[in-house]
Amino acid sequence: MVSERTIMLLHYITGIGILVAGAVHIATVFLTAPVEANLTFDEAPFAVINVYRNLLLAVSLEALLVMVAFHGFNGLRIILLELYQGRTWEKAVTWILTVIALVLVVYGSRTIILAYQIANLG
Amino acid sequence: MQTQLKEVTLRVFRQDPKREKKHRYQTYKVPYRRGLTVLDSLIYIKENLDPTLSIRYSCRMASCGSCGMMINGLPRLACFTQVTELKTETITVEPLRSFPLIKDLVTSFDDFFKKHHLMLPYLIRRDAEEQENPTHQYLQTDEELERYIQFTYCIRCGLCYAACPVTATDRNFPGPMALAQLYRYYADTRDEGGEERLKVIDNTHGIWRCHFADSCSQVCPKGVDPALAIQLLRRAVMFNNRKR
Repeated sequence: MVSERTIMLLHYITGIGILVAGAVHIATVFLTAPVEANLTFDEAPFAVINVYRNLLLAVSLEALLVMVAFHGFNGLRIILLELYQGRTWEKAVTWILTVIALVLVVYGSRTIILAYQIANLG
Repeated sequence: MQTQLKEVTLRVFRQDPKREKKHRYQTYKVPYRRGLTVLDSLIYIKENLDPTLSIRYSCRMASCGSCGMMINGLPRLACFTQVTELKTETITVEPLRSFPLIKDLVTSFDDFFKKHHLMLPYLIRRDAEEQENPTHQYLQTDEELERYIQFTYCIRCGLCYAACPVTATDRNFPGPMALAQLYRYYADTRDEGGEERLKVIDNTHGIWRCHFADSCSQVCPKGVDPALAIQLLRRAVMFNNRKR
């Protein structure tokens, strides 16, 4: 089992990472996508997808996804463990949240890969 | 000119959990005298007005930590709280929060002391031979003493537990007093229990659950700063750096 120390170390690192990667993500989408496209409802998604033509930005979005999933679900785990205590409850909370986080990461990664492929291959 | 205070009104929490399902508040009037503390008022009530009231106290000088209770919503020592400093017409007195109620203002400290014991609150030495046949003293510099001296002032009154938001919800959390005491021994240069001590608190309900509300340090009647001890312990667990 992973020690609580390691989990919390990752929790703090991902917290800072989210701030950095989140700032890069927001700045990229708002600064590099064409302004007119951002203002048009139909065009906006394609303008955003187009941003991810760059592999580095696609990777940063993937990193953001992983960090948000870990940090968010670990935070939720901590809240639930503080609300109620018990071995069964703790095991159930940890495993259920881990599975949900993994599903979210897998589905999100699929979306990022698709967006990258669409942006590059058309 | 301030009106001369003639009597003090106390609104006291009453419940015997063995007989009553719900608590109630009983009001008493106590004659005022200069220097009157909340504990003096409660003793007056017990001796003159209502002998059924249960209170716990001992030293009356903030040394034993027996008379901790909620006074006007804040955890305080009754012997260390003068009625005039509260600046309210009615003083509400309740048992300490986060502790199981025994009767009226008396709470059970069993779990509290159990958690304290789990923190190995004693010096751990590996030199068994030296312990059996001592040859020298364990000297410390002023600087080394300074690292933990404030945590030795703890009187185990439980006020920090009553103020801690985590202790209120997580019954497995060791709590501010226990963690501060663990740090007291961890930071002591005579102690050799380092790794062993850190293992005790590096778990799901251990040191990481503190939200740093700092309420424990705010209510401590002895000026101990358990929140600081917790942060220093976190750093020690995270980087495993025992400062010597």
